[in-house]
Amino acid sequence: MTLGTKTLWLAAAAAALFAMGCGETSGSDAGTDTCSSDANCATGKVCHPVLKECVTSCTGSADCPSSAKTCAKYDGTPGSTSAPGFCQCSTDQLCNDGSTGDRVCSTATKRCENKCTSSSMCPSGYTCNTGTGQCGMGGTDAGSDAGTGDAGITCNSTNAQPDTCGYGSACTSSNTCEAITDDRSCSNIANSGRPAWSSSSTGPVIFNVVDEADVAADCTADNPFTVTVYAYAAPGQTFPPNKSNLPGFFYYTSSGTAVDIPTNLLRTTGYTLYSGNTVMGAKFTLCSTATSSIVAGFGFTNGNGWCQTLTR
Amino acid sequence: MNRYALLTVAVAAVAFAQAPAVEKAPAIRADHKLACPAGTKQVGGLKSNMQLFACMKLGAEGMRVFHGPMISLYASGKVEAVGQAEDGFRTGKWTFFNEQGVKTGETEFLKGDFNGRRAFFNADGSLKAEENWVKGMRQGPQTTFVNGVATVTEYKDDRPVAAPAK
Repeated sequence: MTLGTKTLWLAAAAAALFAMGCGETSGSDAGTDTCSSDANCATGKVCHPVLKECVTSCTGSADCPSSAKTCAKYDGTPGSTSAPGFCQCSTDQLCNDGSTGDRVCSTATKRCENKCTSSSMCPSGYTCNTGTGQCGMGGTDAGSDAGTGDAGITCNSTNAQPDTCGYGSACTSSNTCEAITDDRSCSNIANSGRPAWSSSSTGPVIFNVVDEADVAADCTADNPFTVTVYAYAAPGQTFPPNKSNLPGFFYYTSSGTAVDIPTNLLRTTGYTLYSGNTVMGAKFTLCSTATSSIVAGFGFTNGNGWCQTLTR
Repeated sequence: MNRYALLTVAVAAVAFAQAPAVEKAPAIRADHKLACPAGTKQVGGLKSNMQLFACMKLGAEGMRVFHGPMISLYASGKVEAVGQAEDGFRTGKWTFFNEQGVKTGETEFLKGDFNGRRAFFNADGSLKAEENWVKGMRQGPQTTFVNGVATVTEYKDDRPVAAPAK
C-alpha cells in the first residue's frame, strides 16, 4: 500500500448496513443455493456475500457451535432477530476442535473451511495460498501486495468498510479490495515501539486518513493541522458510543511519543459512528510550530500503524 | 460431538442482571472546581470549545498534557464522561453517560488502554454486559446478560478459547 492508494479509500460515511451473511460453519450447506441478496434465500438462511450462496442464519451466539461462536453479518455487525447474521469463526484452533488440523478459520468467508490446496477450492476471485491454506484476494500471497495482487476483486465502496474485503483490507473508490499494511515508513511509528500488526490481529483497522481544512480556533499560538482518521472495528466488535471510551487510540509524534487521542485531542463533536458502530471517524486538530506540513502517525492498540503527511 | 467446547455457561442470574437505581450524570456548574494536582491548572469549562474540565500541565515537546481529574462534555454541556488522566493518558475507572444523563458504562483504563473491568448498563440501570481486559486485550470471562440469563465466554489474548477436555 502506498500513500497514493490510501487516498482511494472512501470514508464510509453513511455506509449502508450490510444485510447479508450466512450460517453453517463448515460449508455443509454451501454450493446449492446461489444468491445475490438475502431476498434470494429461504427462511432461516441469508446470503453469504463472498460465497454468493444461501447459508443458515443466526440471531445470536446461542445459535452457533463452539467452533464459530460469533453471530454477525459479514461486516461485523452483530446478528439479531431483525437482521440475522451467520456463525463466524475466530481461530484455526477452534475450527479444529481445540487442536491443530486441516481446517482454518477462513479470512475470506469467516467460516471454518478445509485448508485449500488449489484455487479451485476458493470462492470466485480468490486464490489459494498453499502455505497457509487460506484463500486470499488476488495473487498467491493472499493479499500482501496491495495494489497489484488484490486488484480486480470487486467490492462496493458505498457499503461499510471493509465490505467483502474482510479484516485487514479495505474497499477502494474503484470498488476493488486492497490489503492494508502496518505502515512504519515514518519515524512516528518506527520509533513508537508498537508491536507488529497483521491481518490476524484483533484491533481496529485505520483504513483512511483525510487531511481536512484546518480549524484555526483549535490552536492558540501554534499552527493547526486538522485531520479525520477513519477506522473499522475487528469482526464482531463495535466502537463505543462515548468518545471517551474509545480504546487505545494514539497519535504519535515524530519521536514516537504516544498521545492518547480521546483524552487530549478529540472532542465529542468530532467523533462520528457509522454502520452499527462498526466504523468510526475521529476529527481533531494537531497544533504545531511547523508552517507548511507535518508527518503524523496514528494507530489503535492491536491495530495497524498509519503515517500521514498533513499540509496547511 | 466435539471433545472441546467453549466455556459458555448459561445460568439464571437474575440477581446479576438487577441493579440499583439508575445512576445519573453529575450536575456541573460553570464554576465547577476540580481537585487539580500540584503543578497543574484547571482548564476548559461549560462554554469552552475544549468540551471538558481538566487539569493541565506542559509535557515533553511543549505539548499540553492533562493530568488529574477530568470531566468530558457533550456540545450541549451535558456530562459525557467522568474520570482522570495520568500524564495525558486515561487511567483508573471512567464512568460514561448518554446525553440524557443516564449512566451507560464503566471502564478501567491504564495508559489509555482498557485494563480491568468494563461494564455496560441498560437504561434501567441493570447490567447488560461485563468484560475483563488486560492491556487492551480481552482476557478471562466475558459475560452478557439477556433477560436475566448470563452467558459467559472465556477469552485469551482477545480471542475466545476452548475449555479443557473432560
